[in-house]
Amino acid sequence: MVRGKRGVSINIVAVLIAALVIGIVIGYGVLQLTVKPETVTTTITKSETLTESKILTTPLPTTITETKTITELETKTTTVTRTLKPEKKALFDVLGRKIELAKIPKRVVSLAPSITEILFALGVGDRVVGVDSFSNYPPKVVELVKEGKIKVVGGYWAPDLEKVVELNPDLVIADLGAHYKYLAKFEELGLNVLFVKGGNAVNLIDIYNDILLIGEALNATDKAYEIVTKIKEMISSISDKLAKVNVTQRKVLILLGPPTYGLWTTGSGTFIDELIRICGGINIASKYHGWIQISKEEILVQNPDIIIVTVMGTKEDAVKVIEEIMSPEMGLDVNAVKNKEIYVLIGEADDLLCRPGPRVAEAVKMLASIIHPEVFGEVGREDVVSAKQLS
Amino acid sequence: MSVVGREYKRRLRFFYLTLLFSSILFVFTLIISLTIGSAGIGVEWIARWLMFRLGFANGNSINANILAIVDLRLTRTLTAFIIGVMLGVSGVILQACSRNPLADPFILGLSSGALTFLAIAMLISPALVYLRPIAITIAFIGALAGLTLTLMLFEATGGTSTSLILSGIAVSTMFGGLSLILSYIVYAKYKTHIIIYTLGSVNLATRSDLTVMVVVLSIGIILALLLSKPLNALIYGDEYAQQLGYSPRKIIRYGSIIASFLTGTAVAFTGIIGFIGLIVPHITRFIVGHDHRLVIPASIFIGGLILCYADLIVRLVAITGFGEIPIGAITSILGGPFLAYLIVRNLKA
Amino acid sequence: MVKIKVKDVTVTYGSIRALEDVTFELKEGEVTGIIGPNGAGKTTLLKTLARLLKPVKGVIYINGRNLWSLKPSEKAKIIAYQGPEEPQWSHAKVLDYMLTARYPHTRGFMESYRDIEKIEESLKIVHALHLASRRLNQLSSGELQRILIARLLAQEAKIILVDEPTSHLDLYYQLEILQLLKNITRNKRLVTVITLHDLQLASMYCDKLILLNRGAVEAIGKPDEVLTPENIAKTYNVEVEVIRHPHGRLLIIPLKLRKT
Repeated sequence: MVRGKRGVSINIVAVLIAALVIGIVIGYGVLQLTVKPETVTTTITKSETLTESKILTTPLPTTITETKTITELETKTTTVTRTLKPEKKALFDVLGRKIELAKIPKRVVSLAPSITEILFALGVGDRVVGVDSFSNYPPKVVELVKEGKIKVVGGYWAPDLEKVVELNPDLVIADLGAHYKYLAKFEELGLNVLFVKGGNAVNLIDIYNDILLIGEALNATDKAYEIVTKIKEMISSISDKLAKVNVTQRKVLILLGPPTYGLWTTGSGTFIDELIRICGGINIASKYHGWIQISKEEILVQNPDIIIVTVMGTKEDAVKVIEEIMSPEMGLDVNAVKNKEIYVLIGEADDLLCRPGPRVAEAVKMLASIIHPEVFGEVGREDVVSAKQLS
Repeated sequence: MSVVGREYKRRLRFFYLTLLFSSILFVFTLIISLTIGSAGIGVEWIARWLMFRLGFANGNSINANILAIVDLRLTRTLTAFIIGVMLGVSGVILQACSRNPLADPFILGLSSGALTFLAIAMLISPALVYLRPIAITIAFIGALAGLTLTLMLFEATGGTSTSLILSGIAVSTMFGGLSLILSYIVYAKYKTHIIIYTLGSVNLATRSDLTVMVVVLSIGIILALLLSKPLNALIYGDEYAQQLGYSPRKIIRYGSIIASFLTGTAVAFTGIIGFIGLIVPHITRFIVGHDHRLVIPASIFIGGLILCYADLIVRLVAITGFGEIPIGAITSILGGPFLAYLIVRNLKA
Repeated sequence: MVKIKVKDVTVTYGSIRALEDVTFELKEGEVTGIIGPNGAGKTTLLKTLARLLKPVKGVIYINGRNLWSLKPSEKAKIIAYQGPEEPQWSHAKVLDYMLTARYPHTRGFMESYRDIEKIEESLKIVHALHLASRRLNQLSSGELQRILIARLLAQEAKIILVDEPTSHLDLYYQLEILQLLKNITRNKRLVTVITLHDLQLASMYCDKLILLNRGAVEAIGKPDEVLTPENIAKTYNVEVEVIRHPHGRLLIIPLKLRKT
């Protein structure tokens, strides 16, 4: 404590450093307890790269080459070639990670609403045990959640890891856009996670590949191909019709959310951009890249013919948004405002446009009617509120 | 026994008592934290987890799920503790070097600087940032850059107590704006948010991350302790420290490096968490006095525990189904009023 | 035996020549006062002696060794300086402050018995032992000044430099502090250098005076040698009369301002 005039006695620094060292040792020991003593590193082989015209086919290897590193008292590295058990299969997700899973996963957790839609469209909804809070389609999902047969595992942007683990899933399907940062944590928790493009989808091909990938994982490949083919048919029928009639393309502005949240729109490199093109429209924001904000000035310069706004709300909210956009203070003196070509998508229509899932064909149908009613008829949906309806 | 000797021993004894009490509290908090989380796990399972981890029970007594979940909680709590210590010790050093009770890693531009540099690095090469030692180095340089800019502005504006805080606000706001733009660009390019980093999250650190953090923390604490006597001299005045044989410039330089190192690492792992660096020094000095040889060790526990409890609040809210609030929000809610109190007390005096 | 030899010391602040060719010698056991009008260079001279400022010309020898050749830690054991400002961390306790004074001497991380003893002794000498657990901002100006002197003592330096030891103090404390300084200088055979504004006090308590005028030494010597009407008129531009009081004290009576 206090040193004598001569000689050394126990000094506080010695005590503190000892405490620190002991603390570190204890801490490290605790950490080591929670580290698996055996680490297996598997060699990853690259997956096929996507091109415009090809649709991803996932190879199904039957043998894996593994390098086992066993860390206990000494590190031993052995190379083992083993054959997958017959009840297992392997495939590559969009990150190129090799996922090994049961031929038929029985407990699946979906972390995004588009993923949930794909799962139920594939007919494997009975195997879903957990969804995110935004998953609301098909209506069966809402029912099952109410009954408690499916648990909610948190929001789209922030899944609750504990709840996911609690459900003991054998497969978790995650969205690259929202969940990439959880990758390390997922792996640490030992969860089997399959990443799909989801919100990161840049075009329809990405969406098709997501559906096929999930189909592959859930042993529903045929159904997946069926869905994709159907979507492609619906979409080509629409684009064929447009090509036949030779319409003039109309300029479209998409606004995600009401103007009070900012003028957010989708530039090139988003699947919404492609949807607009397919429906015979020109996305006025396509000179920008990604999900960005646009200025009023740019809108004025581009002079869109149609404005489509997605709003999470009721019909009254939609009406308010239309009034806001058309108001003189807003200053949007463009064709869309002059001709009352403003459409607010609420409820299901909102979901249709924004979810990169199996209902993208319906989204195309809806968009086509909005952009070219002369070819496809008026859109006539409850959840699409048109400015023309007011007044 | 002399008057002085008695007072000296009394303080030391009180300090040891504080350490003892805090370590007991720490162990207690650690155990409690294992029971708090959105998954419903009964206490007897926690006990079984403990037995298993300590090697007293075999794998049959517990299932892999519960194992993973409780491990998750432990990792989180330890992360929160370590980050709390890093920010707390940084705050102690910064307040001593600047002789300013309002100084802290955020307000002097360290946190925002670190974040901006990390965001720039992420734009250039995301893969690079995921390598921890590189992320730490980049964040360290960013934090040091922020602090240096603040100090330069401080010198240029007269070098008074107020001008330090104002300079810091200018720099941290500028970097804050920069990182906002960068996160916008990152979102457009990679469609991932780094927004989470501006409000902090202890959720994402893995066990291997913990090892790196412990190493950084240990180095930082030892260096800070070595600086504690010079800091004791510095706080009474630059000239005072000089006539005692110290170089104030050197002390401030070393202090800046240590604080930037600790703050940068904290930001690299968990984003910006404000106010810890501000309130921990005050609470610690209130308890153990103004000798930095005592303040720095005590701030380890105070800082760590405060952030642990903030994380527990986050978890309690998550149980209600509300979702995961960023921990920076909690520290701001608690720290804001404290800051107000500090300002009032300062202005009155 | 402590001796300070100052030779031809010149100190500049940029282009301003604050001290010009200052030369003098000091020995132990004496209180030397530096006097002069504002801006004459009193604080500059003291800081230069404290090695806080570096002269562009000239040398300072401490017992034959060049001041600037000492290691900072060595210097701290020999010279203690107290500037005109109060300690800038006023929430600290007196004990905290006093402990730092021992740092040049403390071996190891924590204090030894000797350090504690020295602090006790220093506080006793200035009659401030009862203030050990008070905070610095809870002290009156007189008490704080005594603590500052106790700190100088605790630092165990042979040379004590105090800038304006009597500012902000009332008459009682002014006399108390100066008497204290004089006593410890005598008892411990220190070299004490102080700056003063008050010529009267300077004449009462200093063994030697250095009168500075615009950076140069106007006069050095005993108080009655230095404090002549001619010197004072020349440096302060004030006409005074200097009377030798029957008690042996000098009385300086200002008469009128001189036209500059």
